[in-house]
Amino acid sequence: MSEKKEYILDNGWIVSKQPAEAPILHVTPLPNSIFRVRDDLELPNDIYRDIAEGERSIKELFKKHKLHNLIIKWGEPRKVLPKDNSPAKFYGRGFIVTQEDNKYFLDYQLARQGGGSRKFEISKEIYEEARTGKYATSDLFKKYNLYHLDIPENDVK
Amino acid sequence: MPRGTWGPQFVEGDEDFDNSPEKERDRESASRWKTKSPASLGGTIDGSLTEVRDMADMFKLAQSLIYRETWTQIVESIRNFNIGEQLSGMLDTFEDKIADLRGDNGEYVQYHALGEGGARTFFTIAAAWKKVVRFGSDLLGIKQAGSPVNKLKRKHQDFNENFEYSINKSDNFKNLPTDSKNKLITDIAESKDGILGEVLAKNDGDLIDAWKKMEDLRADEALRRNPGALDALSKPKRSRPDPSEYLEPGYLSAHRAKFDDGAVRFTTQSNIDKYKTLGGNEAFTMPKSEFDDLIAETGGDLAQIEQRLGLNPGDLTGDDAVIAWIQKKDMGEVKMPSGNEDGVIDEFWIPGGKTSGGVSEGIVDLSNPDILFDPYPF
Repeated sequence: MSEKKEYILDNGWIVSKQPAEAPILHVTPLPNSIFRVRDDLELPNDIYRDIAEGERSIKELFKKHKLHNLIIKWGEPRKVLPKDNSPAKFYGRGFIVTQEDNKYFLDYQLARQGGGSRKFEISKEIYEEARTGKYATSDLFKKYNLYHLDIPENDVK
Repeated sequence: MPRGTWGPQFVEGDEDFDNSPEKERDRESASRWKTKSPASLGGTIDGSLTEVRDMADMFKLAQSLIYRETWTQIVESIRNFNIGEQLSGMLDTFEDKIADLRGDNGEYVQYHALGEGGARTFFTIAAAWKKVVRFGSDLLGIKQAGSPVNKLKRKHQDFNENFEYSINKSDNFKNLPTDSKNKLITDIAESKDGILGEVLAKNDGDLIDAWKKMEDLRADEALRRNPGALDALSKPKRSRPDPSEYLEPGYLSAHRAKFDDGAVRFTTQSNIDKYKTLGGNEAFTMPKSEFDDLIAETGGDLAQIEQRLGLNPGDLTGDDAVIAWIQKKDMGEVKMPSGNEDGVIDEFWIPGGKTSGGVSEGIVDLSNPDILFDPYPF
């Protein structure tokens, strides 16, 4: 009579199989990883067979079987929520301009991956022009030659 | 035994001595057998030429008197007639012979064996001919045709002139580690039409530094050998040229095709909520197909992903990080990054549409809030 089998992969995830049941990959959150959600996945037999025969490297399982595509569950396609402009705040294409007391600011997302942002003070003229809705971030930079302000030292966040 | 040297016509300290690198190259290469023009040719021609001292000046003078089209025909005729090629070949043979007879101190210890008058006359005519054809061709932008052997000789000569007389004397080159020097020499030797050597020889060293940066950031060989890409890298942000100026159309279209499965953007939920978009109008993205490979190669480790994407440590480790997959039909045009985009990290950016970690990257306009995306919150 066979017993429950259990294998530990090199990143700490456990693969288990009960007699007469499908093998299960127990995904546990990993620090500093894109895998932060707990999940239990049924493993295809060919992947389980490799593991049972000694494969423990998660990278090899990803490369050989695209196992990560089973784990990464993309959400339903969606759009960003509608913008909510106000007299002191305007959403442009990739940026926000705000009026805070008597000062005006341009707050924009950086081009690079990762979602960084930057915010610096601008003139009232730029603020009002940006509110026309005609501009994307790079358009504003070009029109008003704001490039010299695009440095971390000017970030007022 | 007769002894003698056939050095330059004038030496350091002479009134006419010009120590510019260009003149030095002239003296070292072709001017060894320099001809002197008749004194009667000296003078002013429309203020454009004040003195005729050698064959190069004679050529300039002649060119100033004849229409460009005519000169093109003359140079083409010379080339097609093939006399230049024959004389060049004979000259090379004689130069080899001279080298055999030459002592270590540069003197011609068996100089008499050649017959002074005959050898001097031959070399003078042949060198002048060679110089006229080559100088004329260069001036008119005409590449010399010829047999494969001659092309190889020309390539060797170009490499020698560019490397020995300019690049090798640059402090930027001298400061490279030995391995890098060897790799740069290989790149110069194998660059298309020897263009890398020509450009580096004329540059003050910035491009050698740019080449080194490309090497450090593991840029592809083709990019390291692309002078336009080196120039783009050497320029400060906002002044870099459009990539279409230095990348072939085929390279650009192949880059776009990588995004056929869509694009992936790393961002944060807080940024999406704050700005109401996935990014700005010039947002860096990566091909979905390479995202799959990236996860397989890194096991999903964020530190490794940051390194592969050319980001600073910690850029992706926020608690509310989101990976957004934008399908091709929703993402619009993918552009090759120019390095002028805001937020580009100069320390890591290299031309050619790849991060310093070898992952393809493209610029997509994500500033439209109506763009559909599949999120993967992690």
